[in-house]
Amino acid sequence: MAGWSLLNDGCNLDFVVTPGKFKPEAFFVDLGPISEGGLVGVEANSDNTSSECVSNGFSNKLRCRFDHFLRGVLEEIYTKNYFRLITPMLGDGQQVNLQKLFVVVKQKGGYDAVSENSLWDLVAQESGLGVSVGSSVKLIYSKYLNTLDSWLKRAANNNVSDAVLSDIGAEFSRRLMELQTGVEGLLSEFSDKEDSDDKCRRLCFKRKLDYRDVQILCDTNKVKSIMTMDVDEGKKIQCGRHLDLDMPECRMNEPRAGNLCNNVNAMERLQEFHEDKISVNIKEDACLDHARKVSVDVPEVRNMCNSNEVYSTLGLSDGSKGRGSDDDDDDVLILDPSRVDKGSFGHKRKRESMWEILKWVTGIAKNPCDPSSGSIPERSKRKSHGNEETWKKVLLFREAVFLKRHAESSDERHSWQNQRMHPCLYDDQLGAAYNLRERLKYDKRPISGKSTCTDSSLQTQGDLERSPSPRIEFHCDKFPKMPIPLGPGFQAQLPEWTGLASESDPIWLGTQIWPSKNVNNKLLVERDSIGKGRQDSCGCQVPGSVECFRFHIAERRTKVKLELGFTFLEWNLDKVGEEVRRLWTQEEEKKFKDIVQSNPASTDRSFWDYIFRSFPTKTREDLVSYYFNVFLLQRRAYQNRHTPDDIDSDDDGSESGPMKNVFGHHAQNSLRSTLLSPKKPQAK
Amino acid sequence: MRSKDRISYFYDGDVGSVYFGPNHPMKPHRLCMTHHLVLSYKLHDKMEIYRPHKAYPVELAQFHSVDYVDFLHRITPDTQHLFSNELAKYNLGEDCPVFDNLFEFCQIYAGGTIDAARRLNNQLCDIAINWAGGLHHAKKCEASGFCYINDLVLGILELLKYHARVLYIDIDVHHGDGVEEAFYFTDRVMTVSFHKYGDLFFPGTGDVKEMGEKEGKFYAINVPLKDGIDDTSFTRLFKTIISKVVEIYAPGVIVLQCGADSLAGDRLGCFNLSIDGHAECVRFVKKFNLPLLVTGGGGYTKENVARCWAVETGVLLDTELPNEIPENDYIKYFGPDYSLKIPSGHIENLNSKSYLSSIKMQVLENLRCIQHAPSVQMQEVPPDFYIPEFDEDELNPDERINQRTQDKHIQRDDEYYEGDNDHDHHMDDV
Repeated sequence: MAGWSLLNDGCNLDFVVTPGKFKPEAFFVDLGPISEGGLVGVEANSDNTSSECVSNGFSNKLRCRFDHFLRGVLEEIYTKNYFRLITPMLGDGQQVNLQKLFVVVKQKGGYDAVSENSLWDLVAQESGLGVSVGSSVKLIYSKYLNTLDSWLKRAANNNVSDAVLSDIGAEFSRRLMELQTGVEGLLSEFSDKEDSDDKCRRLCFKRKLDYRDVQILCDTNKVKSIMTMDVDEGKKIQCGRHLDLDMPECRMNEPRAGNLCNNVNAMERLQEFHEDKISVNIKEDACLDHARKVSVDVPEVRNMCNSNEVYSTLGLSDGSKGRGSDDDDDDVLILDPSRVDKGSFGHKRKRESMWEILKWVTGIAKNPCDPSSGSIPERSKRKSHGNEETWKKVLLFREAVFLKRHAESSDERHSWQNQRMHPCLYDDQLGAAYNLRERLKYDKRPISGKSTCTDSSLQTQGDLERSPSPRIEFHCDKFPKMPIPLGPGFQAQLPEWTGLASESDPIWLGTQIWPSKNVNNKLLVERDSIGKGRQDSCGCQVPGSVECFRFHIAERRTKVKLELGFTFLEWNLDKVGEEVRRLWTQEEEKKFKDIVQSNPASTDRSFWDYIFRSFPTKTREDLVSYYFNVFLLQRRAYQNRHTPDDIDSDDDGSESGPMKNVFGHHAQNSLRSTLLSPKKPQAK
Repeated sequence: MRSKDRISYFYDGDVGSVYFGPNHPMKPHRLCMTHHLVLSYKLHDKMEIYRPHKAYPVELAQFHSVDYVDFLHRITPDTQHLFSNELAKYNLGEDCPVFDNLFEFCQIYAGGTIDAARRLNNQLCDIAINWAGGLHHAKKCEASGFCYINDLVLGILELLKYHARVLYIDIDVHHGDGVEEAFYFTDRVMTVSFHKYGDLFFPGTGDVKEMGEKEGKFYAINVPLKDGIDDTSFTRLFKTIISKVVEIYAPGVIVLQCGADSLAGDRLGCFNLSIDGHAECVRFVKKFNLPLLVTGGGGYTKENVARCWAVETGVLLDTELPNEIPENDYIKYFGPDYSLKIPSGHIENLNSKSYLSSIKMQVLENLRCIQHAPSVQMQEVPPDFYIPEFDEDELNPDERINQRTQDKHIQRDDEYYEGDNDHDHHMDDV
């Protein structure tokens, strides 16, 4: 949870997060700390500077946060000339609520618009500063807030979308810069593999962050849905409409920049709700208080919804859409690519389950009060719900991403190893889909904690991003590499090479079976030449008939037996071929056939279970031997003669239609008759 | 070409009845069929056939961890439900199930490869064949991909006692990950694997960029291929790379894993090789006239496996086998044509010329790094110690083996010298 601690740090008043010179991205670097830090941080900070804010109630808190934020930005900008933000006052000593001022000015269309229309007095009034102090207010605005404003504009006009995610501090913003480079690389030269590998990795990282956002969102929403019970119905409608209206908006413009700013505030507020919720549940009253406040303040609610959506879309579609789009839309601010993407979400997606989760989260984000999305039960009751509940999946996901990432415990290794061969290995139709390891890797890597990305998101990423294009293959092929495990637990201990041959144990060289020392059978048996094939013609009445075969096999067998002598038994040749039948009665053979026949192969049960039970007197070895030496051989013989194009002796228990006829059953078009699949050996 | 190669062939009649379980693609019965085909072509008259000793746990622990070997030794299908944690830890389960006589099966195939290596070491033969071996996925502490004990690693470790450098070549359709991993850090073993890579194909390793680390850097070569590669392109690539490898690396001995799942029509594989193409690789490796250890490996369409390995036995014996399979007890498995030919596959060849040449270039590029690496020792291999006339009775093996092995050994002596025809007995007493 390194990210979290960073965020917490970020919430402290000193906002020296991103060193270096001012750049538009810095805003977003700070955005995270403020908003997310609020989630966890406020409680921790309550004994700190922000304690006063807490004590002064909600609006002060909000304001306090805005001040923090502003300070952070300004400090970013004026790194050298350390800028100390003191609470600005008017000439009469009245303190100015910068946050409110900023919002009001934004609502009026920004500094320029307000100046042009001489609205400063009105602004002052709306900001609660009284009448006829317009010019002072203007001064304060230009001194404290104009920088922020212009910077926001700059940010909006710059390529900042991917900087949204740079909320992990300097290290991550460095990565992001690389990422950005990578993006451009991707766009220009898709063919460069390494580059895109790199990029993918970063994307994943990014995506992970997004998921974190989603989690936050989730929590937020939970709180919110409780809260909104008290919210006026009308407001909700308005809020929804607002969202709808926002949907088609793709471009980031100045008002939206302001909006964004408000979003930040609203977000803070949201998170304060949230934290109220987690820190002490008995704060419910306060929470409701806040809710009421929100419900009264229409613009605030709107903003809140907005911010919510920012979060949801950020979390959900930013990663999913990949770098292609979120880096090149110059003037699209963070919120926008997500919105743009929303429509195409469903098409690109491959993984239904993930999609479902994301949809749920999105839905909740958009309309937390929607009864259809349900509510998350209390913690204590959660366990009783099945994993098929979407909220549970989300929680599980959060657990996986947040809690386990750093614990490379044996538990996880265990769970990884617990997974077995993919069932499709046993599925005849998917004979070649023998890909256990590769598949497992997806499960393993996020746990390993070494890679910065979660692989589930990685895969989703890959699917989403590339699925319609042929590059998906490349993506799968190239990206998920299995590291070779290194260490004494994996590599062999080599004997030291001294330049001299060391000794081995010459006694264990195997026991010579052939040529046999005991029997000099060269004199006894007429021998065929080495490497001789089958004779084309024979003296049988009907060459190639069943009788002919039987005769030659028997003849051959006798010869071999004579020739090998003792060795014949050594190689178990007496237990080979249809000779094995001699140990079986006719009834037993029929019983065997019937059991195989009545228990077609399936993944969960096998005729073997019945066979083993039905022949208690025979060892398993006997039964298996009968199966391979008699049963399958006979089946194959039948196929050779009657269905030469439909041959298979390799599959346990898969019964072909013709075989069923042999056993007096009607041929059926069973799905298990997969013998004609293209991968099957079609022996001729 | 030498015509007087001495060939040692390892076979134990007990492996044919080993059964992995219903619906498991690995069928040791193929070994029985292979042996039958070899016998039916009378190839046994051109070679010496040995029954391998059953490798002792202490021998298996030369590579594998002791706890893993012990566990394999004591687990049975009836007791496995008591050890679910261990099963998971050692990756035993559906993929690598616990079946009757599992440990004995491991002992036999591992013993075969170890014996083969020892016979080569002692120059008792020029080529040793163990079709039961070649289980290249097994890891030091866990089973993987139908492989429990990595007999190849054990065999190579044995060869390393006599040879400064061992070359391992793997033409199984799956990456030889277990062997590569075991020797990833050393330059004394060069592993070269030709395999299908990508599309989440098992085991997922084997990118061309995996080339070894530390001293082993550049000593692991991977030739990742795509679906449907055919004889022409495969053998061309194989010959180019292997001849360069042998030239540069100058191995003292070669281990060749001949997994037959790279054949067309394999139940799990996805290549289009014919038996001729597959066997051509064997023929090519044989031409280097280096001591050669040949093992089996994968192969899940068992008639084709038997055909392939019989043909390759013939290749190693310089005997070309006529296409018509002689009568034998399993002849019906080779119907309806009863010939050695297998139908050509119809999987589209996704290996473009440019892809193959880029792979080849990368591999050769890495090989050049070996040429120029100053740290690599390329001293002359001293001549192998030669035992001209080896008489078992004169040697006292107890001098060199520890107590545990000794105890075992005494038991085995009874069996070997008194009860050679007692097959059932030694299936049960392990």
